[in-house]
Amino acid sequence: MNGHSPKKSANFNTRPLKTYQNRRRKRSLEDQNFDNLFHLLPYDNKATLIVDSTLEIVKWTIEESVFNETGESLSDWELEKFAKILYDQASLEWNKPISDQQAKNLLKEARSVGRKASSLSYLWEQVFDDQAVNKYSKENKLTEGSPTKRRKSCVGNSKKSNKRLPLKNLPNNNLKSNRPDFQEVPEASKFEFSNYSENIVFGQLQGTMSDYKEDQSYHHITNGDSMPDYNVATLLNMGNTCFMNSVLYTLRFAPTFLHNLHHLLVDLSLINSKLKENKTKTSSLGRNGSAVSGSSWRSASSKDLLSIGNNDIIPKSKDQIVTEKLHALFVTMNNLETKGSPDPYQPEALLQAMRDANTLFEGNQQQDAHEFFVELLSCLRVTCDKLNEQIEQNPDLIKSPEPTAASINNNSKIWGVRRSWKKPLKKKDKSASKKNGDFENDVAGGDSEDNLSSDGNSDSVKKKFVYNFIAEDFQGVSLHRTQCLQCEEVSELKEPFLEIQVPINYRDEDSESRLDSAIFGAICVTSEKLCDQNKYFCEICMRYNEAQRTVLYEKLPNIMVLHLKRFTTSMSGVQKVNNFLPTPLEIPCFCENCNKIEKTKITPHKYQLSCVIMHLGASMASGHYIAYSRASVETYDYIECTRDIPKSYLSSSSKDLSVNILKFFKGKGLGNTLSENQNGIGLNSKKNDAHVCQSLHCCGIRCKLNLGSQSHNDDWLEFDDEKVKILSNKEFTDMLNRRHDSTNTPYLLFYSKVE
Amino acid sequence: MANIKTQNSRKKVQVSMVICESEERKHRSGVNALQFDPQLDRLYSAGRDSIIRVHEHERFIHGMEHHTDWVNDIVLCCGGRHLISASSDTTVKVWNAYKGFCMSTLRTHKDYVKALAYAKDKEQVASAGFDKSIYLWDINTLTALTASNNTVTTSSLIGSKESIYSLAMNPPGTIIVSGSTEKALRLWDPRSCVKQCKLKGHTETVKALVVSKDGTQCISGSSDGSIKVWNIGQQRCVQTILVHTDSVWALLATENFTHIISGGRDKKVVVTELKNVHCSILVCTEDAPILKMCFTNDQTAIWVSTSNSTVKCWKLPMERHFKAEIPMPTQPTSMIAGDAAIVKATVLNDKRHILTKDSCSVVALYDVLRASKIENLGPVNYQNEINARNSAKLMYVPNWFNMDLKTGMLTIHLGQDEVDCFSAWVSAKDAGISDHPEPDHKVNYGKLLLQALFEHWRGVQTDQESKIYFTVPKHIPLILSEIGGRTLYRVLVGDTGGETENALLNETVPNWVISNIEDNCTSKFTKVQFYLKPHASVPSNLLKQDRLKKADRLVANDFIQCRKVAEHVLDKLLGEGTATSPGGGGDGDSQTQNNSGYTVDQIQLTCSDQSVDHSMDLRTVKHFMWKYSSDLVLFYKIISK
Repeated sequence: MNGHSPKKSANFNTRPLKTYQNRRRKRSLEDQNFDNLFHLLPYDNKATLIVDSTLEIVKWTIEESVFNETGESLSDWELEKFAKILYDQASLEWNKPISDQQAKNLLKEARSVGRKASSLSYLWEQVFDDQAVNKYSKENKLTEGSPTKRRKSCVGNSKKSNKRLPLKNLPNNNLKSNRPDFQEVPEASKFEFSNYSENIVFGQLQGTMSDYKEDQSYHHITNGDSMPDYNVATLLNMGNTCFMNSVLYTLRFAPTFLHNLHHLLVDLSLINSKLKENKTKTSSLGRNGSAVSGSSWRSASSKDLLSIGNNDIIPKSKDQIVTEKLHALFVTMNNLETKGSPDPYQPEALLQAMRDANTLFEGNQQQDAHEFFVELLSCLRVTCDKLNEQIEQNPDLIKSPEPTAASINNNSKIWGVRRSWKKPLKKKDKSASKKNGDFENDVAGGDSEDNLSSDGNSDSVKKKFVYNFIAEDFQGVSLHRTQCLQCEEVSELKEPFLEIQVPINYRDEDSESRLDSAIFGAICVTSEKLCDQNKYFCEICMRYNEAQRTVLYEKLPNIMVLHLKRFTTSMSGVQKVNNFLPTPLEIPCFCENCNKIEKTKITPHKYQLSCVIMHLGASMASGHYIAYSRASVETYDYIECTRDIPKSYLSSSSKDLSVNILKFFKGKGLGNTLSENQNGIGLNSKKNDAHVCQSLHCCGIRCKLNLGSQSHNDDWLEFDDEKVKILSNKEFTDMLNRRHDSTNTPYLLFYSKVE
Repeated sequence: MANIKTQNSRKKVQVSMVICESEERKHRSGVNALQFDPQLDRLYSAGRDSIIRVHEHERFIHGMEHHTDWVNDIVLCCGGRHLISASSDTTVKVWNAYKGFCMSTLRTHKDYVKALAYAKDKEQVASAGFDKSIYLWDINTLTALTASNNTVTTSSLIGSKESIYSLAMNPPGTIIVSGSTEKALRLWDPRSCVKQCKLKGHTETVKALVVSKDGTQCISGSSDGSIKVWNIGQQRCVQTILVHTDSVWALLATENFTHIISGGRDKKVVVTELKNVHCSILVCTEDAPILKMCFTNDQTAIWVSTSNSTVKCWKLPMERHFKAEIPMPTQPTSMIAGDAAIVKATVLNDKRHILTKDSCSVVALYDVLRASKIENLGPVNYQNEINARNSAKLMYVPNWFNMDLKTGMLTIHLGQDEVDCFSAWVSAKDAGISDHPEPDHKVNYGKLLLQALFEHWRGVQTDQESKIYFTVPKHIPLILSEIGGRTLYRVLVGDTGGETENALLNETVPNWVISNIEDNCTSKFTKVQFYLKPHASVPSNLLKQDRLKKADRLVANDFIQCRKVAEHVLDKLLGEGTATSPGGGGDGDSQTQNNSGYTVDQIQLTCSDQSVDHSMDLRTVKHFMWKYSSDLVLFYKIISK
C-alpha cells in the first residue's frame, strides 16, 4: 500500500469484512503493468482514482460509523455515493490528491455521517427523491431486516430493479469521464459507475480453489422463472446482435474454452514482451527505448482499436484484435459476476473488431449465428497460428525445461508456453470422477506436437512447435472414400473440419428401430452411389464409371459442433426448413473406430449436449437466436493447469498487498481448511487447495453454479440476450421435443466428448 | 445398314475422331469378353478399345469396329454365324460374325449395357445394364432386320432396383438370373416375364453368374470374394466357396456341372470341385485382374482375358493334377499378344501436338491436324519432353478440342459447347503452311480439321479454290454423337462418299459444322481488350495533347502481333500535330517513320515490367505475361536506336 496506513483513521474496527473481500483492492503501478501485460487491459493512468487510499479510507469510515449506529451495512455503491457527497460538500475535487488536513476533515465528516443517520432510510433521503425511494422500497419490499436481504435488493439483481432512480445533489459528471476507457457503456445512470469504480479485480493473486468456492457460496440458488441470485453475466442486444450474443454465451460455457483463450493471449503477450526486451537489448544506440518503461504501456491502450500506433514488435493483425476483444469481454463478464452486477453488457468492442476483420458483419442487419461462429473461430485459429509462427521464428525464446516430473510444478522454469498435454493428462487420470473428458490425447492431423517435454537441447526446438487449441478442441477429420465399381480401386481423401453440416431432410428406412440418440451417426455417416448422370471419373479406368462414395469420420473433435442445415436455396431465394429433428442429450460417438464396435457394446466415448443455439422464426432472413447451456461449470482444467504465469512476473508489492489484505480478514488464511459452501461449512478436500490457474479469476465464469462433482445439477440456462432463465432438465427436453412448435428450431448443437 | 432410331433429342451434337492405325490388329486395352467358335476354331474377343477381334489359331483375322466405347460382352449365336455385342456406348449390335460387319444397332438401353445372356435352344438373347432394365431379343428377328424393315419388339424384365452387372440364362431359356449392386440375385421367368424370387446372401456386387442346364442350380461370384452355389428350387444357398482373396469377376462351369472355374481381382484362376469344395486347384496366376474366361474346343483348356491386352490360354487340371501327382503348368499353352494402351496424354502449348505415354512407358508424338502419330520417342522421360517442347517457342493458342483416353487410343472431340472448336486462329506461318500466299493470313485449326474429316463427303460444298492444307488418313473413324449422350453415327473418313453413308451423314451432321466449312469469310474472332499507356520515361511533349492523360482502351483481335500495337503507338500516339500523312512530313521514305522521327523498332512495349517481343501476339502476352484476370495493360516507351 502506498503511503496511507489505515491506522490513521481512528476506531477502525477489524470486524471481518468477509463480504467485501474482493472489493477493496489497490492497484499499484506494477499491478497495472502486470494487468496490461497479461490481460491486455489498458494502463489506467488516472492513478489517483485507483491508488488514492484516502477515498478508500473515507468509505471505510463511513461504513464503520453507519454500522455502528444502525447496525446495517452499506453496499459499495452506496458508500461511493456518500463519499462523493462528502467530497463535494468539502469542495474537494474527486480525483485530485488532498492534503492531510483536508483528509482529516473529511474523515471527521465521514464519522459523523453515521451519527446523523438514525436509520438508513434517512440516509437515503439525503440523497434520493422521496417519492422514488418509497416506490423503490415498496417494490423491493425493503425492510430494515437482515443485512443479506438488504444487500440483495440493493444490488438489484432481480429484474424489477432495472429501474433507475433519479438522484439529486450528486456531483456531476466527473464520474463518467473517469471511467476506464476499455468499456463502453450506454448512457445509463450514474448508478453504474460505482460498479466500475472498484475497477477490475484480477483475481486473487494467490487464489485457491477454496477462495473461489467461497466466493460462489455467497449466493443462493433459486430455481424457477426468476433467478435473482443467479448472477450470470448477460449481454445486451445492440440492435440485431442476438446472433453474436448467442454464440458468445455458448463459447463461454464450452468446456475449457475460456481457459485456453486466456493462455493463448498470455503467451502472445509474453512473446511480445520478450521480443521487445531482446530488441532493446540489442539496440545499438543504447537508448532505453520504449520497451520496458511505463509510457509504452500506455500507448497500447484500447483506444487503438486497430493496430495503428501500436507499439508491439509484431503488428497486431485483425484476428488478434478480435481474440483480445473476446477475452476482454469475458473478463468484463467475470467482473460483472464477481460484483454481482445485474446489468447487461454491450459487447461493442468485440463487434467492432469483428466488423474490421470481416466486412460481412458491417451494418446493422441480422446475421447468421453460424457464420459468426465460423468467423470468430477462424480469427482465433489464425491467432494461434501466429503464436506458433512467432515461436518458430524465435526458438531461442523458449527455455527448455528439465524433463523431470518435478518440472510440472516448477513454474519458474517453464516459460508459460503450452506444455505437453500428456502431463496434465496423467494428473487427470487420477481424478476418476471427472465428468467431461476434455483433454483428448489424440492428435488431429499433426496439429499439436510439443517439443518442450523432450530433451533439453536447443536442437530439439527445431522440431516444429505447433499448438492450436482451436484445432485441438474443435477440429475433426473426415474421410471421403470413393470406390470405382468397375476396377474396385479405393481412393481416400481426408479433410479436417471444424463443424459438421447436418442435412435435415433425412429419410431412412429403419427409422423406427433406431434410437433417437443414434440419429446423428446415421445422418452424418453417409454412403451414396455415383451413377446415372453423376458418374465418377476413375483415373485407373480413364473413364466415367459408377462408384460408391462414403463419408465417415476418422476423428471427432472434443467439442463437436453440428450445424443443422435449416435452409434451402430455391428459385424464390433462401427458405428455412423447419422440420423436426430430435436433439438427444447424449449421443454415441460415430467416429470410425466406434462405428466398428458391435451395436450391443458401449462405445469407449460418447458425446453430451453442452450448448444449443435455437433459431426462432419462420424464415432465415429474420428471426431470433436463443442460446442454452448447462447450468454447470467445469473447473477441473483450472485446477490441473500447469501453465501459470511464472512467479517472476508477479511484482513484489502485490505480494505485500495480498498479505496486507489478509490482515483484515482475520481468521482466514490462504489455503484454509474450512470453507462455506452450498451444503454448509465443511472440510475442504485436499484437492480444493490445489493451485488454481489464475485465469479462472481473470476471465472464468464466476456466477454461482454447481461446481464439479459435488452436486448433480441437471439444470439448463436459457440466454435470450440479456434475459437469463433457469430451466429444469425436463423443461429443457420438453422444449427440444416440441414438434408442433414449428418455427423454434435448434440450429447449432454443441456436443462435448465424454470418456 | 438398318438402324433403330429413337426420337432425335435436342442435345448438341459433337464431331469426334479416333487417331488410330489403319488396321488395329492387337488389343490396345483390357479384354472384357471372350467367345469361342468350335467349328472354325475362332476366338472372338471384345476389347475395351471398342473393337471386337477375331483370331483363328491365334492369328488375327479381322477386327469388328463399330462401337465407340468399351465392348462389355459378346455372345456367339446361330451356330457361330452371328455375334451380339453390348457396349458402354449404350448400344447392342448385331454382327455377321464371318464377314465381320455390323448388321443392326439396338438403341433401347439408356445407360451402359453391361451383360448379355444367351438361351441357345431358343436363340434368344437378353441384355442388361445400368439402366436397370433387361430386354429380351429374338435373334432370328434381329438378324432379319433391314433398312426398310427396321422395327423389332422386345419384352423387358423390369424390377431390378439397381444397376445390373451380370446376367445368365440356361439354354432352354426357362430361367434368367441377374446380379447387381443390390447384392441379391434376382430370378425371372423369361417366358412369362414374371419375377420369381430374390436370392440373398452376398455382401457386395454380384459380377459373375452361371446357370445350370436344367435351371435348378445357379452359381454366383461376387466382389465380396465368395462364390455361392444356389438351389433355385429351394431358393437358398447350398454352398459357399472361398478360394479367392479378392473379388470374383469371372465364372465358368464344366459341362456336367461338376467343377467351377473362377477368376478374379486377385489375378488367380482356380478350379473347384463342386462335390467337395475343399478340393481346388490353382490354374494360373495372371499379371492383371481376370475379366473373363472361355473354354477351348475340347474343354481341356481355357482362354483367359484380363485388364491387360494379352489373352492367354491355360491348361485345365485333370485327374492326375487333382491327385497332386503332377504339378500344374506355369506357362500358358498359347497366347494372343496385345498392344499397349495410351495411359497419359498432354496437349502441348501449340494446341496441335499431343505427347502421349503408354502402358509400356513409350512416349509418342501425335499431330491432331493430321490425325496421325508423328514420332515414336521410345521410353524417354515424359515430363522432360513436355517441358522441352513447350519452352521451345512461347506461343499461346486457345483450347479448341477435348481429348479422351477411355479406349486406350486418342479420341478428339470437336464441339461448340464449353470449348469452341473455332477459337484457335493461328497465322498460316505458325501453322506450318509453307506455301500459303499470305504467311500472316489467319487460319482456324477447327475448321481445317473439319474440312479434312469431311473431305470426301458430298454434303458439304467447300470452296473449290481454297486448297485443303491438311488431310487425314482415310481409315480414321469419324463419330457423330450427342454431347454426354449416345453415339449417332460412326463412319470411316474414307467411306463418307458412299450412298448410304452420305444419307446418314445428312441426317446427323449438325448445322454448325456445315455452315462453318462452307462459309469462307472469317468470322468470330476472339477479341482482346487492353490498355495502352505511356511509360513514365516518355517525355510528355512527344505525346499528342489529347492523349496525354487518358489511358487508351483498345480492342483488337487476339492474334494480332505486338508489332501492330507498336505501329499504332507510332502513328496515333506520338508526334506533334493531329495526323500524319503517309507520304508527306519528315523524310517520308519509310512508312513507319512519322513526324517525331522514330521507327517502329524504337517503340518498346512492356507488360508486367517485362519487355514484349514484337512478334508475339496479344493472346500470348496476355496468357503468359499478364497473370491477372483484369484487362491487359501495356506500356510503351521509346528506346534509342
